[in-house]
Amino acid sequence: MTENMDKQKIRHFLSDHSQEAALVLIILAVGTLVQLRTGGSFLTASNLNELMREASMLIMVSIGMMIVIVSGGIDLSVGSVMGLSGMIAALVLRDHRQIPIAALFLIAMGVGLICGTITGFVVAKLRIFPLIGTLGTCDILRGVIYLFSKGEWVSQTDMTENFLAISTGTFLGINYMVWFAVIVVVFGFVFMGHTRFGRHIYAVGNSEANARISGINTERTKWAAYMLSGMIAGLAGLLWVCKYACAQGTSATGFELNVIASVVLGGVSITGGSGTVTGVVLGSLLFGMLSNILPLIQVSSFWQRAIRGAVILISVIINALVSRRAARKALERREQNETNE
Amino acid sequence: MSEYVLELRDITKRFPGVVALNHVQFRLKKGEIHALMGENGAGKSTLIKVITGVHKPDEGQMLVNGEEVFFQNTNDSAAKSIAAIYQHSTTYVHLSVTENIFIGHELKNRFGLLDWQEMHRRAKELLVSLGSGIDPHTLMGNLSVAEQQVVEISKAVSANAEIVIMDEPTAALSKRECEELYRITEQLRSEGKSILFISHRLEDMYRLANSVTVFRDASYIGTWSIEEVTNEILVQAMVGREIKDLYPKAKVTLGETALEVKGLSRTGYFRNVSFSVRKGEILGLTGLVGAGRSEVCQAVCGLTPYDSGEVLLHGQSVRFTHPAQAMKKKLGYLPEDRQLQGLLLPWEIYQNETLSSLEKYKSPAGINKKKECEDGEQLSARLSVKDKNIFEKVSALSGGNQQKVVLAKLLNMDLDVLILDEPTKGVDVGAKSQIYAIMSELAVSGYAIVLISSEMPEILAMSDRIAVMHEGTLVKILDRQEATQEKMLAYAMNSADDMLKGGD
Amino acid sequence: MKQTNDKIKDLFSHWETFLILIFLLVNVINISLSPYYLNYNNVMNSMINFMDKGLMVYGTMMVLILGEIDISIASIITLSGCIAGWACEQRMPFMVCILLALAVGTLCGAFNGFLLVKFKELNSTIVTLGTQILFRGLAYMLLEDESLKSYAKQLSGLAWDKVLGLPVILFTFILLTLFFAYVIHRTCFGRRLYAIGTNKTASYFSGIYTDRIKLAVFSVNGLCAAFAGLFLAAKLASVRASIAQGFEMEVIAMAILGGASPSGGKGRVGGVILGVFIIGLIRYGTGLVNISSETLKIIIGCLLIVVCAVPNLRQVLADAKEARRGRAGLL
Repeated sequence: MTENMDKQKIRHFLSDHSQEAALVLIILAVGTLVQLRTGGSFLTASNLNELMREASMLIMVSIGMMIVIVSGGIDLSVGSVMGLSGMIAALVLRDHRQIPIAALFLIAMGVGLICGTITGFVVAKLRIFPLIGTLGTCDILRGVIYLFSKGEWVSQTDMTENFLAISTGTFLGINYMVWFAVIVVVFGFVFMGHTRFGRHIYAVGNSEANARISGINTERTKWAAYMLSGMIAGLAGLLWVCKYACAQGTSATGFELNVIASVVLGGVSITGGSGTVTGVVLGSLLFGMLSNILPLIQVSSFWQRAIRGAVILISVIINALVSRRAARKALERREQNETNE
Repeated sequence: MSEYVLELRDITKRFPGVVALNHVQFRLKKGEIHALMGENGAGKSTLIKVITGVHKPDEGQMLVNGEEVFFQNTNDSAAKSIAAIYQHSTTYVHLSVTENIFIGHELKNRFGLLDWQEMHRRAKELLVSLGSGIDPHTLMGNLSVAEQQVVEISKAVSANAEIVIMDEPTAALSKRECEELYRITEQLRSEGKSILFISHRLEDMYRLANSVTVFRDASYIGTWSIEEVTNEILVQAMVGREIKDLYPKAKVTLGETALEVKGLSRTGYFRNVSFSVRKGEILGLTGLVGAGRSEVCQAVCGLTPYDSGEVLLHGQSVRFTHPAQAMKKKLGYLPEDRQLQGLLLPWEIYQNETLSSLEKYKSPAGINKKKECEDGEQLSARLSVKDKNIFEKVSALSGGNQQKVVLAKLLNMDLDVLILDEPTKGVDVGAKSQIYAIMSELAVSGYAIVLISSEMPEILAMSDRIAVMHEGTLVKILDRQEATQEKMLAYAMNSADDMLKGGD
Repeated sequence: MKQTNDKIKDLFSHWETFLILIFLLVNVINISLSPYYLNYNNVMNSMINFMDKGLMVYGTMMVLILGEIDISIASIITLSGCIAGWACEQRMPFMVCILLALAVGTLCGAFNGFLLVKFKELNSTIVTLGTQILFRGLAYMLLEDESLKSYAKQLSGLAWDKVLGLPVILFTFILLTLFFAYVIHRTCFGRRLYAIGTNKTASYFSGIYTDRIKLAVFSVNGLCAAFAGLFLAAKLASVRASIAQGFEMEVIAMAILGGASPSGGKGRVGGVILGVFIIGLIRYGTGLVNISSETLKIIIGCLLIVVCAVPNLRQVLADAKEARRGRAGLL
């Protein structure tokens, strides 16, 4: 009896989480294949460490982007936000070498939050089409980076040991950057799944009109989504500077495209209203893996961009086909029910 | 403490170009089911929106438990324990049943996080108490319309609503599902809740209500207790004039078969539907909302695909994959939702009227605007569209005149078979009778017409034959002479056999 | 009296009137900033600098009228420019190179349209975002980090020759303007474009082949981009996979400033011409007084946002007023 129940539960779980399950399988399959193909140079400690450091930024920013996309928007400005917050933090560090690391974090996240607030204002309050509004803020913020940096770089020599240690140091044997990603993921998990505000973001993305009838302040909800995304991008911007030991005007240019690719790969509906944190984490991991293994299997780095574009298109098409199939199945079920009656 | 939990006095609500509520009254007692009836466009839905705070009234007073209230939004009405279940369900399809029930008043645990376990448990409890076996973990989008409605009711109950408003809850339900809903509604009444039940089905009212209020043309007509009310009183109150004057049906000699549909099926929408219509004939096509009437006709016109079956136009087998092909073969469709499917609201009248027949105005120098305007003038005059001129925006017109513009668009093409889907929905009585006159005239001049409608009197008066659909199948074609409201409703609810046996 | 008042009001409610004012303002500012602004040769040279975007603006305008958006155009420019350069490098006949580039651009646009028509669940945001990356990626696959120059001699005429005393590119722009003004404002096709952008469902119900038109518009948009790609290649005298980054934003800004709207059904050619010149002249003027290209990005970005916000402002303000009234407790 209970065994039966358990089986049913497992089946329910799998059918509810088919997307996540598929991603896990793909990740395992790709990992195994590459490991065999490259004669074991994929699953080495140093490569995995590098993969995780790279992926941790992607995962973080993807969580922020997911919040925005679930609310029914899109944020093309995250790359610029990362560049700006990283640059400002690096400039502060260059000029005040004694500043505590924690203050740098506050500064970077604060800058991100301000950027997110502006973007949110543009989209939620001024009601500008998200794609165009954030395309605008993307360029504006990129320009602002140059206003602050006057076109200069902040290089490794301007940074302190302590600061650079953020990207190399470990805690419990795991890189700090991964820990930051874990914190953001846990936050995303709790926020999107277990707080009233998080669920309201889903409601707004499902149907703005209905959300308004349910008494949800849709404007504020959307605005907050962009603020969160901005703040997370601010944090990631600082980590970017640590990892590459350099801040320049073009830092993280185009990173938003990787992020969007990861999010759609993770099964988040681009029209809003659905998507899970687990899916996004798996999607980012898979995407991070792809970037990591292409050089290993001797794919020219010049191919990577095209592959990235193809991944976005193919994953949204697969999502569309899957939902079509589900709709057809539901219809057939309904038909059966009716004829049975 | 007042005798009434909800009282509306002299409420007026205007929208650009229309008065949606004209000094109306409404009073709801504690623990009663009060039916609000009226034809489409009588102002019922607007009244709900005023009560729930979606719209603000322009004039008048609203009292809850004897206390005057001014609602700014739905939160304010919810705070006064008012909950509404809307006609077009306001659900979130990607979210679970539990979430749909608790959205806006979620439960939290001691850490300030959502208490999913407790919410799932309570949702289950609520659903069980309403006698439903829905699993609260299911996604809303996977439920049937009837199940979604039960969830919506649970939502109202979970919000501790004292006043529950139901807007046409039975419109899309099968007979069994209706019984289920009646049971739940009565259960709520026995728990002391007050229910405002909106419907245009007499059966709902007799089965449930303690009293009934009728609106017509945005005005309050009267309130009766269920004991004193009769069919005659109600129909008189709702329609407001002799049926004969409203429906000018001309006598026509029928020609040959124009459109024939044989065994049309589409998985999940309709099955094995067959009917035919002759030149000069008006075939009524009726059934409950969701019975698949529009779906069949849209498939015939090439708007949506179908899986199997055959369509014959003037004896010739056709299969359209795009509406333009149907129009070329002289078959036109007037859509049900004129604002969404029929009109370009920000456009001028004449541009809407010529949209489907632009080829006529082609010239090397571009579209011949002069000819376009001339035709526009003519059409507007022929259908007596009440406008300042043909350059007025369609959005500024009243519902009836908008419908005439859509009709004009069809008449500007060279057609001989017309499918009219709810042509008088949301149209005031004056314009209605004009639209009937036009239909009648078209039939005389040889058009074959399929009239889809939920309004029984309209179907009865205008049709030569009446086809009734139920859940995707065509159950019966009645002749004009044998058709009555009761028979049609019985077939539409697929209970004809037991009812006719029992009734006679 | 009342009638003239109405007429004046009418005039001011036209977006184009507003644009003319901006246009004059930009010119006044530019003239007062730099004495070299009104030099004929300078003006003509500046045309060569911004007109390549002007060549694409009508394609983008039609996409916007449909209520869609295409942010892959910059990548299409790059890809078709690179294809032209690559084909010349392979010693193909010059005309073949040109036609190949135009064909590739059209195919790219058609691919966008095809995906949108075939998969109605997808919106143009995500599709053109994906193809934006894909098309430029293809250019990188083709050229890697090489830059090609061998085509330059044959193509340079496009950039530097004159027709009737006007730079070729300006002359081409004028021809394109006349052509698109006719197509958009005079033909049935144009009328149907606006119909689809205003209400897609109603247009379909009215018997308009919405899918075919969408496919055609996206293809034409690709062709326009390829066309612009040739002029850009001629001007730069060498192509590589990184050219034309960020062009899409400026082109979209020109179209939207000109009165087109991503919500569809709006915009007139007259306004878009002004949009092209306003942004182009801002670029020219700021170039004369040595404002960096990064600052220019900020200016154009802000302009884009302000322009998008203006039509919404009335609604935003009304809502704010409503909310205030609500807080005050009404009456």
